[in-house]
Amino acid sequence: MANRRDTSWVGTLLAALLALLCVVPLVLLVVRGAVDGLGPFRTVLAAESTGAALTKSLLLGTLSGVVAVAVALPAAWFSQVTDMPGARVFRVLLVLPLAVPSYVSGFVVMAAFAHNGWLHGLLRPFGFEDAPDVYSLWGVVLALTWAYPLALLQIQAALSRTDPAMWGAARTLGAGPWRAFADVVLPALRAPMATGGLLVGLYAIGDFGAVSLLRFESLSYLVYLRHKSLFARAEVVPLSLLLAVVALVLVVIVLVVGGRTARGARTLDVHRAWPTIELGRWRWVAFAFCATLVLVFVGLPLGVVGYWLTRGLRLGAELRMPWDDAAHSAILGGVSALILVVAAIGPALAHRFGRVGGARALRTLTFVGYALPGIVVALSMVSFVVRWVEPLYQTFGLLVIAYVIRFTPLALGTLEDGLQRVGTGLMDAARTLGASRARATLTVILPSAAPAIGAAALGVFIAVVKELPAALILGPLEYDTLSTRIWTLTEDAFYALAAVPIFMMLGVALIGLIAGRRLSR
Amino acid sequence: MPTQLRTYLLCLAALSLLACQPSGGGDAEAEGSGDETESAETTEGEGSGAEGAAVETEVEQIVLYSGRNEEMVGPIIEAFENETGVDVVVNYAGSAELAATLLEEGDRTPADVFLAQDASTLGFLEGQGTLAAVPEGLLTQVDTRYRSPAGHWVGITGRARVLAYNTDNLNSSTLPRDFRALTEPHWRGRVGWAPENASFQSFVATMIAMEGEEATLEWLSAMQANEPVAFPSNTPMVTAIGRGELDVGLTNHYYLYRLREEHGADFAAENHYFRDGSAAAFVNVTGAAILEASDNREGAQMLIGYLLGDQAQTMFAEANHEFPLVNGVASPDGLPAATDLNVPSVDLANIHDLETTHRLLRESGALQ
Repeated sequence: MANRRDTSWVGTLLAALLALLCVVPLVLLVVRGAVDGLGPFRTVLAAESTGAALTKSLLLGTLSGVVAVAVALPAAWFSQVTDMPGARVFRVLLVLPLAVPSYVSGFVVMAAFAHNGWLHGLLRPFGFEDAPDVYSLWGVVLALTWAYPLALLQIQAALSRTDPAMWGAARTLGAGPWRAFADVVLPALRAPMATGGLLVGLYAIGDFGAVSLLRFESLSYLVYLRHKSLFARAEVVPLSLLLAVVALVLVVIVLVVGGRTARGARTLDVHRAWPTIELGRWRWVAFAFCATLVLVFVGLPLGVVGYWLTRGLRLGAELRMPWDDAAHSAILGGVSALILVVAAIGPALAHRFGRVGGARALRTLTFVGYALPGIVVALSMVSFVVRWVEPLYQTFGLLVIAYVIRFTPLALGTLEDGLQRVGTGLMDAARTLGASRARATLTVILPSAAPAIGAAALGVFIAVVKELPAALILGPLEYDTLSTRIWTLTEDAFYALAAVPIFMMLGVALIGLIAGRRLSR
Repeated sequence: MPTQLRTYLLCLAALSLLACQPSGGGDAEAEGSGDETESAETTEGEGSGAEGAAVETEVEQIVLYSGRNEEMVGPIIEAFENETGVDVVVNYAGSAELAATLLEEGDRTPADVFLAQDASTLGFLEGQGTLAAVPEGLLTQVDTRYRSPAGHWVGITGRARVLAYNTDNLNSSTLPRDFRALTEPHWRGRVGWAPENASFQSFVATMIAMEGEEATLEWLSAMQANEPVAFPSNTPMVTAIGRGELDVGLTNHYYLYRLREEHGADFAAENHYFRDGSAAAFVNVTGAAILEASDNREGAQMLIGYLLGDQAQTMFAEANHEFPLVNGVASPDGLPAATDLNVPSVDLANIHDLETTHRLLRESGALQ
């Protein structure tokens, strides 16, 4: 099969350029570290807090990933292929928590589960004097579990690529549903589960919203504190490099756990729909599970933020509609999505219909910018730009570059996944009928890849709208976005005012998700 | 070659500035923006007067780095813009963070004015040579206590250090005698502080100036051994006190008022002023300075002059519950008079030693 395709040089070149850009922050970090000398490294390595923070980050990354997958796997299975009541609605609702950023979910965890929080209020009459301590590992893991849809989306996509015939065969041969699930479905989902867990784990170690609200001294929290400090800024570089190492460890763990068995699963060249699996009386258990998820991860944020809003209105807060911020978010998201889709479509097409030289290596490199926490990417760029490319400093362009670096794998991954559904036969047929490669791509392939392109653009759009550290650190002066507005308002306890941009962010995501479903149908 | 490159980069910088400046861009282009801004500080009108256009000022834009947040400063800036027609571009962030940014940007900084939430950050930058002189006429509007003796920054408003406490768990008779008592076993795990915060570091710097390094380190270490709860900033600390998650916290006086406004009158926290002349009774400033690297001194002075004016002082007092520093402007309702706080006799100008502060905080383990 491989030798039937010729190496696409254009595709390889484009992929290489993109990969090169994604590695820039890491290179800048290493160079900066070398220039600064050993001093900051010594300080960081000698500090007691470093070891503790390292352990906390590793624990946080692993646990968050595992918990998210444990939540996402049943949710994906129930909503995608079973007769659970309301499965179709759940398919959208279950993804919605993705629109709740960690700098909001941290507040939700505090309001709902901390001392004197809602849960404590309910339990106190029954003699519970002390609420469990949310300012701890479990509190932060809970706050970051809002990111479980990252895993859910991976698993859903893999499920729809998996051949349902295997399941049918297993059942026909007498395997019970549990056995069939364990023996046939689970192996096929092992790779996406691993990837999904990795995405959540990386999100967790790079987070600085939930960790700072819940005062959990992970590495990213230290990086954030050092950046804000007048004297210890030099320590940002060694701490960031350490964080990069943690990211690498997570990637390696996932490669070891998830890499091998993926081969056993049969991936379809042609999309084949799953039959609806009947759960019997278990369908209500499934329903209760998914409803609880929606209640906790969608209901609670709406409740907490709604409470902020009504309390503020009762006390006479004057609300403002942050239209400017919303427009900035939309423009940033739109421009980044457009650029990324255009930049990624070439390599993605080459990957599907041609052959990209060194594809695996290039693929891995594009992951560097995504694996590095947003705050690290932003900080690595800001000091370089101030010194050497000052005209770019505090500009819209720099922010978009940062988003391209951060979110390339998001666009590339979705496009490649989506293009899997466009059969290679289509290209061959068009070529046989005399169309040039370019013409075939333009008139046949791209139109049939429209759903994938739409999905990729939406994914990037939502990620950019939510993104905080880069917008905060690299953005132009007075270019507030929904995310920076929410952050600064909540930081200074203007909760009622913050409610409006939070609802706007949820609204944008909901519209995006529904549009995405339409597109991919 | 290098000079060519520099010119090229400068042109690019000028172009990008123009591109980011939607209002009034046309005028600036017509007059050739590069020369125009530079001439602002030196000339009284010999060159530009020929155009015969602008009234007294050619200032079109001022860049402000503000360590106070937008909700508090924004309305005052807006009033200034409406009154003068000058566009103020503001970079809002933490005071220490902005100071570090100013050092990093060096003479390439776009900032003209720095508004910091504490005196020690300003004193530190003064020592680094980052700040330009504030004209005498502006300096003398506030008491000598609240401005730099070398004349590089001037206080705008005052903010008192207090011990915020939860009113359900404590009352005035169960509060500590003084801040030193917080190291007693009785207070273990019940005290909040924000070692990263510039105001807290100013308090420590005050203690160093009053009692010396050794005594300060001793107190910090004893505190640290008493397991205080460390917060990244003051707002979440006072929030935790109001929620009853924490009993007391070393903070500034005005957070309480913001949180009361947000949570309602039943927010269970109150301020305790030590009034004992100790470092914990110290009154800090929100102060303003002009950047040495700014080529827009005239604009910078205009803005600072406005912040010291009656209207801005009243807004600071009413909306933000801070103590006005300009003579003759009254303290906001419900606050003790600034003269009634028995503040320590140490000069604000003597508390610039943030480097020692930082070292002691680290040695004691308070800063990780």
